[in-house]
Amino acid sequence: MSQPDDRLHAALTAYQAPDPLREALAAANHPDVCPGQIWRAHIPGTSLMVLIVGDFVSGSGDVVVATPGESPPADSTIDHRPVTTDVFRSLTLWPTVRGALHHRVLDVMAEHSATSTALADQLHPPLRVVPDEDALDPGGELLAELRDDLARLQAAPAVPRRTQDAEPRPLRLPGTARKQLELLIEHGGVNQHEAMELLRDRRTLTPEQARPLEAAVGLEAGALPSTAGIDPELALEVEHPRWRDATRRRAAHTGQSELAARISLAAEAYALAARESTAEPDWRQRIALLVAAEP
Amino acid sequence: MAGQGLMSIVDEIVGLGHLGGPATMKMLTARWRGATHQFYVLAPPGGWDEESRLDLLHEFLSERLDDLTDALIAVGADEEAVLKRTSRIMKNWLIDQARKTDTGAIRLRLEELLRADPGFIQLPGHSQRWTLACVTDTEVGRDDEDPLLAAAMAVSDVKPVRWRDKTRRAPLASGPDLTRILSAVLACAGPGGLEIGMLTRVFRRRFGVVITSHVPLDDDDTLADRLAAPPTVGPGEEPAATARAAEVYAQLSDRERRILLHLDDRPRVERILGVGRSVAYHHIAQVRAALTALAGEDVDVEAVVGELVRLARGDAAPDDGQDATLEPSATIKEKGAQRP
Repeated sequence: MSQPDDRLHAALTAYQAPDPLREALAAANHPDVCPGQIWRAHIPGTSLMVLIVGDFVSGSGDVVVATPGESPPADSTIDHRPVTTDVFRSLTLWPTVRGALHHRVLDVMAEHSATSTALADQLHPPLRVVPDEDALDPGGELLAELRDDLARLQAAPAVPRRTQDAEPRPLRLPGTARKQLELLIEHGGVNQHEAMELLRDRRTLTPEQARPLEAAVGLEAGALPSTAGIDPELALEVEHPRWRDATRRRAAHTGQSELAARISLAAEAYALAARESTAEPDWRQRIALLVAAEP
Repeated sequence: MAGQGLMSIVDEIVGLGHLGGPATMKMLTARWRGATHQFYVLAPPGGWDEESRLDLLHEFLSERLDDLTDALIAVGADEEAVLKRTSRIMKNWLIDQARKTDTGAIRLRLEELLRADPGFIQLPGHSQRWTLACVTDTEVGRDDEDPLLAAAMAVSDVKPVRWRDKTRRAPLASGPDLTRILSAVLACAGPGGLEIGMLTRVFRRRFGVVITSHVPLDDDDTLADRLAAPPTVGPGEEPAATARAAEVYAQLSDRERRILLHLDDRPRVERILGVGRSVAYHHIAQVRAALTALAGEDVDVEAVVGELVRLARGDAAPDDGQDATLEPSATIKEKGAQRP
C-alpha cells in the first residue's frame, strides 16, 4: 500500500463496530412483530431501521424511523431524539417520520429490550400536532430522504391477495365429464364436491389449482380462467420475515424477483395443503416443509 | 463499480466490523471524490487535488468514522443501499462544512428572505432563479455582475448590525436592509431574474465578506502592494478606519478572528482551529480576501488593518499563543509597522 493508503487504512481501522450491533444483526432473529422491537426494513436499494410503536394487525402496524449514526445538524429544529440502546451506540429517532409498514419488508430484528420498549411507549400514540417544519432547516434534506425511503418501503409490492369474484368464471376442460372430474381431483388438488362445483360454474379455479391442471392437459399457463391472487392467510404467512431468507435464496436460485419467489412458494404450499383434508391448513408448517426440502 | 467488487464491500464490512478492507477503502475514496467535487466553496486554493481531498477525508473520518461504520454495518447485504448511505452521510457532512463558510451562509440567508417575502417569486420552471413579483417590463435585464453590484451599493442607509455572540456568525445586515438590497438588485436584473448563485456573489462583494477562496497564499501581490504603499491619512480618517475595522471584524467568524494574526503560518492555523491543511487554507484565504477587499474602498487600509490587529490581540485565546507570542504574522506585522 502507498503511504496515503496506509494512513487511510490506519484511520478506518481505528474504530470497530460494537459487538452487540454485529451480533444482533448476525443472529437473524425473525419473531412475530410487536411494539418495542427495532427491525431493519429492506427492499433492494433501500434499507432503514424502524422502531415498532403500534400493534401489528394483519401484518401491518405503525413504525417510527430510526437512523444509526445519522442525525441532523446541531442547529436543526426538526424533532429528533438521539438515544443509546442496548444494541445501538448512537441512534436517532424521527418521531415525525412514521407510518404504517407491512411485515413483508422487515428483514431482521436488531433489538427487543426494555430500552427499546420504553422508547416505543414514549412514541405511541402518534403526536396529535405535527410541528411545522422549516423547508430551509439544515436537517430538512435528510428528513426528506428518510421520508422517501419510508414511502418506498410502504409501496413495496405485496403478494396479490385473492378477492371474491362477483361472478364465477366458467371452466372448460377437455374430455368427458368423468375425465374432467378426474383431472380436477388429481391435478387441481380439490375434492369431489369442489370439483363438481367448479364444473357447474359455481366457483372459479384458484391460480394454484389452475397451474398444475394447465400443465396436465398441455395448456399454456394462464389459459384456464382462475381467480386472481393468493389465499389471504397464506399470503400473510409467506410474507412473514421468517421466510425472507428462504424466498431470497429461491429468487437467486431461479432468477426470479423476491415477489415472484414468494408467489411460487405460496402456490406450492397451497398445492401441498390441498392434497390434505384439513379445513384450515397450517400454512407455516407447509411452507417450512417446502423450505426444508429446498437446496 | 462491478458487482464482484460490490459484493466484497458488503462482505468486508460485515466480516471485519470496520471500514478498512481494500474494497471498502476503494469505495470510500471514490465516493468522497464524487461528493467533494460539487463543493467548490470548500475547495482549497487552486482547486481540488488528491492530497487536499484526502486531507478533508481524514477530517471527515475524525468526526464521523464511528457513525459511518455503525450506519454501514446496519444497512446489511445490499451494495446499492451501502453506496447510497455512504454518499448521504458524506454529503450531509460536507453541507454542514459548507454552511460554515460565508458563501453557504449568505446563500441560505438570501433564500430565507426570498421565500418569506411575497414580493419575490421564483421563475416558473427555474427553482433557483428569482425575480420581483411586480416586474412587468419585458426588457431583458442585466445579469453581469458589476451593474448588479452597483445597484446593491446604491442602496443607502444600510446599517451594520452590532453583534456580540461569539458562537454564531455575524449577520450581513438586518433583514429589512437585505430585502431592500435584494429588491434593488433584482430590479436591476429585470424580468429575467437572477440565479441564487449570482445573488450570493453580488452580496459577498457588496459586504466585502469574502471574494474568493483562491487567493494564492505565497504570492499575495495585491495585498503586499497595498500594504507597501505610502499611507495617506487625512483629517478625520482615523475614526472612519476604526469604524470600518469594527465592521470588518464583526463580519469575521470567531474562527477567522482567531487566525487573523497568523495568516502566513498555516501550521499554526491548523493547530489553533484543530483542522487539516485544506480547511486551514480555506480559512486563511477567506480572511485574506476580506482584507484584500478593503483595497477598493475609500478608507485608510493601513489604519483599518492596524485596528484589526488590535482587536484580534484583544480577543486572542490563551491557547492560540501557547507555542509563540501573539506577534502577528509577517503580512499583518508588515502592515502594522508601517503605521505612521
